[in-house]
Amino acid sequence: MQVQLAKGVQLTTVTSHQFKTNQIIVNFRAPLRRDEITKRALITNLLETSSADYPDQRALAHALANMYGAAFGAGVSRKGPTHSLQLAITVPNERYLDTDDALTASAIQFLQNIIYRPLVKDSQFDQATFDRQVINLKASIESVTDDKQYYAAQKLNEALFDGMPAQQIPSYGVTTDLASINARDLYAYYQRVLARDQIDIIVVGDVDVDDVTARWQAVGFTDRPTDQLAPFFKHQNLGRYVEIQERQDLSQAKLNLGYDLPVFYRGEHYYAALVFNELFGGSPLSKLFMNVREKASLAYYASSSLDTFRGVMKVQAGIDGHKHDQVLAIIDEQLTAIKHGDFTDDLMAQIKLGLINDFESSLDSQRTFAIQALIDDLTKRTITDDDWLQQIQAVTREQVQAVAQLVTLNNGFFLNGGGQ
Amino acid sequence: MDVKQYEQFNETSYQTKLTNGLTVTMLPKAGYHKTYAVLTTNYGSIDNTFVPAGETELRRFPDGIAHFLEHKMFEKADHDAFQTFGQYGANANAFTSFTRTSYLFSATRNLRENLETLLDFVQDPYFSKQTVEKEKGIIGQEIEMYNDDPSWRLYFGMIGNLYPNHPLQYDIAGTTESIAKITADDLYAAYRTFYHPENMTLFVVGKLDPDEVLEWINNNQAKKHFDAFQPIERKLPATITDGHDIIPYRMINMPVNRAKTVVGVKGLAPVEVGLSALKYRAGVNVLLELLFGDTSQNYLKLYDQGVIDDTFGYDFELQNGFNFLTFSGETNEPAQFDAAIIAGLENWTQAVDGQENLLAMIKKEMIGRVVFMANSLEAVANRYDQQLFGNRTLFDEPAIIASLTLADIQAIARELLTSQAISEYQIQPVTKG
Repeated sequence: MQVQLAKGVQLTTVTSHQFKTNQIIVNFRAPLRRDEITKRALITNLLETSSADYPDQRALAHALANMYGAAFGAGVSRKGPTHSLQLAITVPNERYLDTDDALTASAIQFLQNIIYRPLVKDSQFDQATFDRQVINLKASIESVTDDKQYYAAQKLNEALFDGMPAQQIPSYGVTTDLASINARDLYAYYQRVLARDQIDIIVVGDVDVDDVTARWQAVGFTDRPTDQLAPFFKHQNLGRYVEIQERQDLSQAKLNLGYDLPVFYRGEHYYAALVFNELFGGSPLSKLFMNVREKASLAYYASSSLDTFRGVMKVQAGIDGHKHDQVLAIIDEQLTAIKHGDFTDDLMAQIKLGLINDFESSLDSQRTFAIQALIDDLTKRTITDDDWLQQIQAVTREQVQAVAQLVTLNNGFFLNGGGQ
Repeated sequence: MDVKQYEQFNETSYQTKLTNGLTVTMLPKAGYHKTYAVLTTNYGSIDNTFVPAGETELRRFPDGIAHFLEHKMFEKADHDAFQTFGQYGANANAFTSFTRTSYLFSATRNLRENLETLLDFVQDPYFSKQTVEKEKGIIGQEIEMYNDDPSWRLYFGMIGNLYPNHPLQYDIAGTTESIAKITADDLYAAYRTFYHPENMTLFVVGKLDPDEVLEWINNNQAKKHFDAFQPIERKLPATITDGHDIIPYRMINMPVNRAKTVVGVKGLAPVEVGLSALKYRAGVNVLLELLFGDTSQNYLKLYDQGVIDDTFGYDFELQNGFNFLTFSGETNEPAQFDAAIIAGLENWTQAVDGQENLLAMIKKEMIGRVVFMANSLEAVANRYDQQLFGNRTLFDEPAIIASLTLADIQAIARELLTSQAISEYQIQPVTKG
């Protein structure tokens, strides 16, 4: 059920008896702007650790423990040309506990306290908390590079979106921005987030819809300047292959590849692209898994993924650095094979069954309902579960081959071992 | 079939032991689309010395053999079990821990075919010289990948400090050198010893009808022959109860941005399996929360001083035969971090004594977490460990948590948190020249 609380502010309630917990998500969405990304990441750190009602982490942790271990978190993410700042809380449904506490009502109140009563003095975020969170965000951004798989993926993303800084930097920001952010300006920016960002509130569980609605109506949301953002960012096809190489002291090399693939969420070729990706590198039955990893023993992992909000496909592989050329060639052969229709009908049927299994399995996760509601609101391309299944079943071999024809290798990032 | 009702949670478990010795547990979940099944043998990376089935003498096998066997189980003479699961739309996987090897699938359709595939591929070994050699390359890559992972190195560095004379210290996958020695005959010997149904359990949870599933399993098992079970003789070093073998401190350099450090505490006293193990684990988790949880005074103090940050975490590992605590984090000052944790451990009475109110709150939190886990088929299945806890499930835990008193926690702390059981291991950044 959906209620418009103001222009650009929506409450979606999904009632389900399947889960023993209730989940509430508040998502703030804005156009992706280079200068705002780090600020938004820092705001989530501040909101996650302090508020006027729970001034330090211990007070906050006590509030959550008293709601029977409620799970609370905040985070940021990018989808195409949009950026989201999200707060989420999940509480046990009290019917499974020896308590008369109305935990869902408490959880909604908690989220509202966190959002609307931050720890602020004299129109700025509390300085000590701010300083601590700047240090912590800096440390956590720097540590990301210790995960080489993640580091290589990030370097590939930079290469794929060369000249487009908002798309290039991570959704959680960059350390070089932190020096120029202060507690006063950040609080002023947060006021703009509260007033201008589109807000989606999603409640999933065995809840009383009227009660939930009344609790959110009581906030008194104001109209946003717009109620619809552009959902897609279209990657520019380079038309040729450019590879960046780097050496570090590693025993396993990483090869990450970026492709232009102009297929967008639930648009033309979309369902065929899902099947294509599963066949190419998205599943254990895929060409990459079977031929690069299993048959040729060239890689420990080799897989592909789609970003249908930006029109790209990525391949990531962990390899022996000496086998770079061999791996690059064999990955290309797999793509060519699909273009030529070199796959059996049986495999195609299994790939579809795997996609259907993943889709039906996702319905057993409470979070799926929230994620889907957010995407539906962004794209306005809602379909029923049955339609989704039919669309997948209807994909033909020729359609999969046609998608393979749309794929162009653009960028590579090769992180080789052997030190500087 | 034993039927156990958990009325508070609106859940029911069904359990039986088949005539061939396999223990089967089923837990239907209303409204779910998926079924998750996991077939586990009580055989893990530490079981490298044992009397092979049909032999009389102890033999030492290469480190990493349990994990190698797990990889090789999927490959058959004319097909790969992954492909068979794929034909039925299932996701399949397997993992090896210190004490267990598990094979699993999840699927929304074709439950019978998938269950039969699981039982058939694990109960029908096929190893050849050629396929064993090929696997060495794949697992070699896996070992190398873990060698580059600082968190993995930190964890095994600490285990090496706490258990310098125990197979626990070896990487679950072994080393490139140790796996080079593995032969098809070794795999058959390990298989025949540990993969008898008597040494295995099957847990099925999600969309299922217990009577129907049990009938399928019975029909499948009736077609197979198993020799009489020979009780397994494994050799493991005894825990040295005064802790004199523990290495107190080691440090390595790696190309990391910030130092990582871990403080470990080895459980020197044995923990009895069964209900007491489940109660002990819950008690230790309460103790950890009182000492360093985000509801504790210590946590806030150390966080505000910048000694710990959001990378701080702790864990209690309890298995049949050993248990240890780890406290780890990233920091620019590892010595300061370690000193603060050790001080917190040695002065545990300050954080525990008189904290009845905090205990009550922590118990609420832990009982709530059980409700969270009840949503996840994987959590319900993976929480089950017959070897360690007997035939208890996740839903037996709330009553155990509720029964804990501050005196229980104090008794655990007095025994567990002794200075001679504590050790440190650090990873420092490579100094740039």
